[in-house]
Amino acid sequence: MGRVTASILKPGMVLSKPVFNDYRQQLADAGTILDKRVINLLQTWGVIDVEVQGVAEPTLQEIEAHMSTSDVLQQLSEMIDDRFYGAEQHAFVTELHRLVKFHTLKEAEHQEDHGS
Amino acid sequence: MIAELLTGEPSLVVARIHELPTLPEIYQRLSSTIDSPFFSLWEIERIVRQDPVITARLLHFVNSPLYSLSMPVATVSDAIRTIGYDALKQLILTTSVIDMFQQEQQGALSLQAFWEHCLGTAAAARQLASWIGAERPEEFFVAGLLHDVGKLIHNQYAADKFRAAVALAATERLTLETAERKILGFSHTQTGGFLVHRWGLSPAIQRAIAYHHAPAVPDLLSPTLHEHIVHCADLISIGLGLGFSGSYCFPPFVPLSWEVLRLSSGHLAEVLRATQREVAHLMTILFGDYAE
Repeated sequence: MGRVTASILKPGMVLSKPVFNDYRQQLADAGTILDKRVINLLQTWGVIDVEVQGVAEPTLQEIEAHMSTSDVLQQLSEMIDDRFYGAEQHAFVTELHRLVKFHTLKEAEHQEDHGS
Repeated sequence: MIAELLTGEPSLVVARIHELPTLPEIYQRLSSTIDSPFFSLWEIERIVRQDPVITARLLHFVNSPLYSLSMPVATVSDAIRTIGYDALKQLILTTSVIDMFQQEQQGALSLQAFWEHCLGTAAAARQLASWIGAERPEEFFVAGLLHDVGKLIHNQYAADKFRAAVALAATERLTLETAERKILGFSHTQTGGFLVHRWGLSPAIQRAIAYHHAPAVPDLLSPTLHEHIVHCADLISIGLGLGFSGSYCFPPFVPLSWEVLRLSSGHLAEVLRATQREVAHLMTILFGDYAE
């Protein structure tokens, strides 16, 4: 079980906790298998992150392992590390570092898929 | 020589720098009109229309993808109605401050990269403020935009020493703040704080600029939310690689700031996404060509 950002939800994932909107109305129950309709509903209500069974966002180490598989991604990874040179190990800084790499990786994969 | 004055206390320095820029008249007139108890859209429109550059940028801004309008806006009054008075003040301040320093400066900093870093901090600050439900999120944008303005003062009035500080930061991989303290004896946080005090911006904005590297413990007497938000926003802009602040080392983080904001990882992800998108649009409006 892990908490994942609503923007990376995919059909087939299973919610492990119910999701509520800001008015405490339940949008989806625990055990709901996500489909496009439910994902749209959550995103329309501006849900930020949800608990999903068996899925967790990749750790910084997992992202780095993925990025080391190509020279271009490896260079991007090192460029990002350079921005964080001397950074202290605090949850906020570590999460910022992880998110920047994760987004960069997703963006690179998206561009590769679309041939640009 | 003005540069020689910068060896003393920064308060004395700023007070004695006669060439120190003041905020443009249009911003001051607009601010005092909007802050007055009674004003009309017609009065605001009349002030804006007197400046053709600001009029053009307002129309460009309101018709940019930031507002995703179904119909293009063609008149100044519709544009003001769409973006609101706070956003109008913010746009005019942004445009004015960038133009003010753009004309006069060259030196140790690439101004376009510098402003990209500041716009990144501004956009992230507004996003963070919105997520925690802070009042007047536009004020956080202004605090973020101006957080490093002291560097421009050093660049302008102590060019040699400032260049030496940037070089020291590069060779020893320091934050620019540390290098400034070693070479100048004080940092951009102090100079910037005095400058915006002189400009008459709000105490919260003054504090955000003076304490964005060392935000204080919240108490009832002093508003500290702006400085905590700008502290986090500055690091977000650096982490995203938006422009360049002059630092060659990631600045120290004050954990209290994130505790004050109480946001989740998901919120941070949203802030990063929105910040990148907004900076791309703003850079295109303000500087023309912009490659992310």
